[in-house]
Amino acid sequence: MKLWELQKDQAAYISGFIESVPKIYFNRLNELGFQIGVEVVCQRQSPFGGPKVYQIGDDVFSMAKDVASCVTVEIGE
Amino acid sequence: MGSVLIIGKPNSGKSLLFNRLTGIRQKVANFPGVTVEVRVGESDGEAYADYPGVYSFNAMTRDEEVAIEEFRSALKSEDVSVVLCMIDATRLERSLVIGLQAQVAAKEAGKPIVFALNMMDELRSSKAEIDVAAIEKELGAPCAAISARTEEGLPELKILLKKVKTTPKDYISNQVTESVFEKAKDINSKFGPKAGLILKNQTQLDRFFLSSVFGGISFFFIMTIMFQSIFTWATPLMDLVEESIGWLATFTTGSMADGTFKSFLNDALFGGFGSFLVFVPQIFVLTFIIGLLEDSGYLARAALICHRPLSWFGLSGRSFVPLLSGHACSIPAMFAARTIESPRRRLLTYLAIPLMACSARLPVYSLLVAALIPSVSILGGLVGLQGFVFFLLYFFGIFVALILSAILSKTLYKTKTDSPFIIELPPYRPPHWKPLLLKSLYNSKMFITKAGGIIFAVTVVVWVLGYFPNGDGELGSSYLAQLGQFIEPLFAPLGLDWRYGVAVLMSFLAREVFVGTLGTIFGIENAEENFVGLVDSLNASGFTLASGVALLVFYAIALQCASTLAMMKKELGNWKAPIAVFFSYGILAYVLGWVSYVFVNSLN
Repeated sequence: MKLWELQKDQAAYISGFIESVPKIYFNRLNELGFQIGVEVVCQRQSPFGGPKVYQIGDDVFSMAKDVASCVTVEIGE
Repeated sequence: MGSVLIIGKPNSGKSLLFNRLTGIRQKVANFPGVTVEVRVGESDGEAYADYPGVYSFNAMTRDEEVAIEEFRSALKSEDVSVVLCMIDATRLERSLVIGLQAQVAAKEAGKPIVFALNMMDELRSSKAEIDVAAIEKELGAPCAAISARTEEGLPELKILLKKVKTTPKDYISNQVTESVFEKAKDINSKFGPKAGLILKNQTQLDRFFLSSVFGGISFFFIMTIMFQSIFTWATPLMDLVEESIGWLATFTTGSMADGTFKSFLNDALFGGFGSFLVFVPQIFVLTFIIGLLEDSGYLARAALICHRPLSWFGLSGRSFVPLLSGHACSIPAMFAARTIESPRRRLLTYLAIPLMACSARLPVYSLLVAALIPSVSILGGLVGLQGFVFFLLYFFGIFVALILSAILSKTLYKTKTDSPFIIELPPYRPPHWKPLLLKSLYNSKMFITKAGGIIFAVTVVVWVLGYFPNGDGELGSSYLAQLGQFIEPLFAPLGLDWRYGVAVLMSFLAREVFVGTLGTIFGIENAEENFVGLVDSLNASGFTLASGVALLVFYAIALQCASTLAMMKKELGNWKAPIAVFFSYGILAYVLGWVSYVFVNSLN
């Protein structure tokens, strides 16, 4: 599933990126810690499809749908 | 004297450390067309250069590209003796990505690097800890544990920097790695703070500030205070500047004989250029408040709240504050737009700002509404009709701005890959007052030095046109009046004669000049305060409702503000865009004004 589909308070592990991910998105996501195998938690959803809030370790980021849809995740055990 | 280059990720406390080290002895270097600033300062014979915060050396925007290019180019200079990399110890892994890349760049340039592990006070208060000695060993470069906020460890950092500068070759890193992500993760997991301890307070506050109900209420409350403060806090200071200029004008010209020089001093220097200086306190107050919001961590939350609705019109969540500020004045609003991460959305915001109903439009709206709209109540006495028309005028400006922005974002400024909306939500922190005051003072100074020259030149041109050829100050027989009569056919389709043409021409310097000019033409003294007399004169001159509506629409759209154009030129780095905006908005204002005139006439 895509990171954007993660619901509030749901945790998952990053499994990869979609093939058509723009390079600048990929680079920035990597630099911010969105790397394969890392656990990510969806902290907050905004109304009307606004940016969601994700936590990685001790970092918190807000991300719009077009970016969060580039990351694929798997719900862990 | 060798320089120390300071680099690090955004929100790592870099600028605070720079301010602690250098105090008020700072200079800021700007680069045309981008919002990149490199601040340079001195302390105890050491020079420091503070580079903009970046997440990595892979630039995502033109701003980041310029910042990185400038850093790399400075590294090659023989004057640079050491790189100081700021590391946010509470977010070790993220900070180390840029830190390790800077280490590689420093080694390539044959320069040593020192790491400052900042925010040790926050680590302690969260009961978290890091192993500084082990991190130093892993990095193969000297590390200093500091807190820029409490100044803990700063004397030791200064001593360390001096030591490294004395024998730089001894400190050039040998342990650089190209696998920065792996190494950053490895160091953080082995020696960094335990995950979950730092975020506790932030999560609790976000639960309030980002909640569906209280988040909206607090956002509305904070923005109302901000908007009000631009008016209320700045007003006494603006009055003070205005009175001081008035006093200076009286003092200088009071005993002078009437003539060209006195007229120049009174009308061009004190009247024209002086009215531009009145806006300086507003710049100061707005920069200060935005700085407060940014330092406290709330600005990122506000951007998150506004992003979705504004993105429908091609704007960013960060466009909200500049657009709101634009209702006070476009100039501070353009300063505020510097925080927008995407150059494309920043440009669209610059284009939308002049359409907000700024305070300079208020005298024009007040005069025309008083002349055209009867002072009656509607909706069972709940709402005054004149007030309702004012609301419609404000709404009209916002509406046109959003529609134009949406059209431009889908046509002229269409792009497949814009900068992604990913923003770090920094921890909530108390603001740092001294650096904030310094920044606000600097922005006010920059406003005067950068836009002042252009404003003065335009003021002189308008004064010359209004004073000569007779040289008696009679506006009716001046070049400006001749020009007004020459362009009268242009205003005739809006039902306006040359007198309104002259007032419109004069108000291209600043909109509020419209009222004073009409007052001069109709022979009403102090027209800005004596609205009733001028309103009577307008009505007696055959001024119709259709012409009034056409003028209102014209003033809501036309970009008649030399200061805004000068500011736009400064921010965009060229005259092309401001000139294009000036003519496009002028034509659009004229066409919509004409359509309104025809429409209102057809109702009669």
